[in-house]
Amino acid sequence: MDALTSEQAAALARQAGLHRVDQAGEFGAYLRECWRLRHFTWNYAVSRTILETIQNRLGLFWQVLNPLLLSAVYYLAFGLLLGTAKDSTNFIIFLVAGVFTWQLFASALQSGSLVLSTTRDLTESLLFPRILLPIAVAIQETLGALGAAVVLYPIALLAGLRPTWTWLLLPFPFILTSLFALGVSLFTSRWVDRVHDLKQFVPIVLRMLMFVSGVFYDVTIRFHKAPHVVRTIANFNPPSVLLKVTRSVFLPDQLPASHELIWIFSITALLIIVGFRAFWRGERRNG
Amino acid sequence: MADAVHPEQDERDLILIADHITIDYEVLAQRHGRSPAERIMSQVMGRKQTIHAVKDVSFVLRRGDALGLIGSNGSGKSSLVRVLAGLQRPTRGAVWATSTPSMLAMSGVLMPDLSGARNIRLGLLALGMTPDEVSELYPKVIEVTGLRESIHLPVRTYSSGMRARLKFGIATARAPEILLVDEALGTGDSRFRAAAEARLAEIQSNAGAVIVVNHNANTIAETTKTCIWLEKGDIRAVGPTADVLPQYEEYLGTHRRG
Repeated sequence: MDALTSEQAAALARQAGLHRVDQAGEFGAYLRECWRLRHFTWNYAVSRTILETIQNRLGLFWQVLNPLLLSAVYYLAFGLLLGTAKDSTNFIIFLVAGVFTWQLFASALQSGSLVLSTTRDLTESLLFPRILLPIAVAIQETLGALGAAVVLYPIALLAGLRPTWTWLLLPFPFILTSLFALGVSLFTSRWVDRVHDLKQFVPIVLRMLMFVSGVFYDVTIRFHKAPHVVRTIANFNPPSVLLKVTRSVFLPDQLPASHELIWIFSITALLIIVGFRAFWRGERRNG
Repeated sequence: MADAVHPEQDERDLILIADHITIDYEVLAQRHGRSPAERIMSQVMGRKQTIHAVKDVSFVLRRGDALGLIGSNGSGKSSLVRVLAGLQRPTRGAVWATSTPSMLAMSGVLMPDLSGARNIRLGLLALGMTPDEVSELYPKVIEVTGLRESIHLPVRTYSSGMRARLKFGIATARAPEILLVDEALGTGDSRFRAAAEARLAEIQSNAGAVIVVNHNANTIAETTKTCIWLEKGDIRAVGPTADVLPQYEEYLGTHRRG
């Protein structure tokens, strides 16, 4: 019934000025499409934030209260019982800044990794570069974390710190944390989409990371006597560096060494660049 | 393919070519063992089974065409139309088109827990409009949907007819070159259907094309002139809608109802 072979069809299509619509375009075209739809990405991130606020009526309130309650628990369990409170000159702000950063990282990585399976309503009706989904998640998480993090200022004052100009830099560690989590989820979201069982491991890996990243103790102090390899890994562990960056806004002695800073910036940039390509390749194959 | 029998005649009006499209699904064969243990084992160890949803389907679409795609449930028409819209990858074959077709489907609202108004904004932005264009088109879309005050309620609370109107308003806010309508016209009242049919005709007369997918012969008869009948992934008949539909109805009559 069909008079054409695929070669003839392709030739005819080119003559008629048609292009393939059953696969994602070239990488350059893909990036241009992402840029063209930037308003959609932003609007979608805001919509997700609104949705979250509607669903938990005290949405933002919980985003503040939850890390504070966790901090209280850690203070009791680790700071007092295990004695990590002496790791810092001001353990309260050390702990709270760490917990807020960690919560952002964990939540961004969790929702970023699962985003392709949690947005079926949207992806079944509209065609757009799917990479906009993890990007929107990263924006949403950053907005939420920034809103909640305002509470760090009164806590720092109550903990006896004097305001300095570095306090104004607080958004940057959070943005860096989100970018790093985005870079990782560009890979993990594709893996989870291919093998759904992998999502069971996301919370477990996150829990393990939390314990080794020094959320409630100082990595430098606690790994001081560990073998060289272990100590190096512990210090270069990206979440651990990210926690230090946030803390340094309030506690200058927490500022990571310059080689650690260079490391965290380059690994984030690398993850995002390579992740963009990997994600795009996955989209060409699987949609 | 009514006019696809000799596609080489004239390439100027071509707007879409579906080239040997095959869609397979790999599923785990679920055997109904007697004990729970047997069922669990069959889940884990079960052999993969390939389902051929669409088998080697080809056709072309020209400017001004209105093509019907008819077939009973499970005939593969929804899979085919999702591939045409770029929402799913075909196992084999290719889709060529002037621009990616817009799809209007029964399933999926953008964000069901948010208001219709917010869904309209989001949908228009996703179609690539700028915020200014969205603001400009927004009142028109509201009017097309006829949702009035309900526009501020969560879409979750809408009836299926209201949802269909919402999605139709978004998808046709700026007339797409190629519009795919998957079952969405079946819902909604007669006034909406009249408005929708007028919009489809407008797309055709603007040198666009529409593909209407339905299992209901009436909808196909009202909206299309040529028609493909798909059954179990195969094309069973192609031709003028008036010729194909009686064959389909006869088939339905003898195969009540699988």
